[in-house]
Amino acid sequence: MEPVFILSLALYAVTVATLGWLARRKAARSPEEYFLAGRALGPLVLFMALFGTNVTSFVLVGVPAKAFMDGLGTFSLNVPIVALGLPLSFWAIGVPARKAAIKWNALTPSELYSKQLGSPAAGKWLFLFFSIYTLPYMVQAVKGAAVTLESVSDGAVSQTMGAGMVVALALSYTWLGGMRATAWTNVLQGSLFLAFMIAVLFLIPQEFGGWVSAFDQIAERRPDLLTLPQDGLFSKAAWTSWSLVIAITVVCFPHILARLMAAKSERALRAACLLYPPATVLVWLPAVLLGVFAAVFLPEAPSPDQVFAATTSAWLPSWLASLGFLAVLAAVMSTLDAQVLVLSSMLTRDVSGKSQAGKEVQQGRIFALLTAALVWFLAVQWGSSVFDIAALAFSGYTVLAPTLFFGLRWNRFGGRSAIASMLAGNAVLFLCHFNIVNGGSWLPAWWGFWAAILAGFLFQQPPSSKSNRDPLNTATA
Amino acid sequence: MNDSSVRKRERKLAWLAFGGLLALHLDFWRPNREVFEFWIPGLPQDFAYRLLWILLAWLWLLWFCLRLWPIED
Repeated sequence: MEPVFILSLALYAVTVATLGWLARRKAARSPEEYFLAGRALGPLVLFMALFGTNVTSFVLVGVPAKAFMDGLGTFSLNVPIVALGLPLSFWAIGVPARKAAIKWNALTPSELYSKQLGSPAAGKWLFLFFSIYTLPYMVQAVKGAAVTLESVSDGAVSQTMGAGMVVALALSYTWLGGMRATAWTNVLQGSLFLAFMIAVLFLIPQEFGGWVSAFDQIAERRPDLLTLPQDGLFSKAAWTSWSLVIAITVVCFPHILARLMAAKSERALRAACLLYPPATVLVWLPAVLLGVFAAVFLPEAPSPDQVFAATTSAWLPSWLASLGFLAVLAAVMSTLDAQVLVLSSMLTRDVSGKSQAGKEVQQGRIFALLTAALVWFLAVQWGSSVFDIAALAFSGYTVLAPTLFFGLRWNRFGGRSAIASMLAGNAVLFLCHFNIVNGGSWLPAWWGFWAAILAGFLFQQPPSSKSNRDPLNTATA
Repeated sequence: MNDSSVRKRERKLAWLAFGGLLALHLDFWRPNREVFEFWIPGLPQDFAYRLLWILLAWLWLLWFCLRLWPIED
């Protein structure tokens, strides 16, 4: 293991733990402070908290692997629609969610919908689906980080130990400082991987005589990498349905929704929306280039999952490559901390029942510890099938989107509509995913999404029924 | 025309433009979509098209956020 990596890892660990320590006093004041940082995340911290939480090892390691196989089309398929869809979904769901959370004094996404829809059962179902989809997502990220640590250390750090280190470190500052600590650390983590990817964008093409020369060589040797493939996700139906999935799935992550609920103001949310597109390009473009360049310039083809490690080791100075590995760990932890916190908050507020405010923070910490321990255990025990389960998870979040949207913006969408929508959407998703029903070239999430909307409409509240809520569709643009 | 009808027209125009952006993203109608050539040196045609789309989308977002998003804090 490179001494620079050990040193920077130690420095990183001390810094994030210190941030957690600094946030602990405010966090202990009330459950609102611990779980939602007192609803006081300003524009920059909110943006970094959202961005840091959203970017995982999927972008830093998974995207180069995809681009290694599919070329520059990976950029075309994902980045444009993410750059527009995410900010727009933050407006469509995040803005009314924040307002409703303040109105109902809700601290968790499922508590918010339970109160907004006047249906504790709908809140419980939402909690169930959030948990089912978030756990494998966390396990996948921890496994990815453990594999990276094992590879950087040449096997000195086993996957069991690596997973333990990552989970323990993320838990330490989350335990101490709650949402405020995770938001502060997300600023550091986001800056780290953003700076690293910008360095990659400028340095790697220089290795091959500059941008134009590098692209000339790619065009000569592998022109197929510079155009759109025609099969798989690039076919018409799959491209259309993937665009829907990737644009709306992120706002349905409970850990993202909780951060949107913690915004200090609507102005802060708007600023975060405007910063999202350029930041998305700055992280995704270098990741895609790593994959394309690896396919052309690496003398020995690595396995797709090793593209990030192989390219950064081969073409960057060793100190910068070490920072790259640290950036992967930071990306994993910046998501993991938010997930641990939101699951523990839902367990505290929505499952175990009300307790005194002072005890709630303690309870939240205990649930955070239990959640982290479960994730570590599953990461060590679960085989590679977890990656398939995580892929299903992204589709699963997508079919929750109608409930999250209509639950806030349509008065006739009640608890019954929400439960019908979630169950129908997930049932259709399940049937199509496991090929019990043939969805054709359309992705299963496409059918699940429309089934969820249809069920919500069929089970809408009659016009005469009194709603216990005011319409929140005040952001009417 | 009063202020609210101007704003209403602007909103309609914005959502129409959004529809246009979606049509430009789902660009299966575009001729030579799968053919490779450089638009300018170092910039493949499809990649240039996507970068331009992102720029347009960001300008749309600026318009939407700064003109049509009523801030109520």
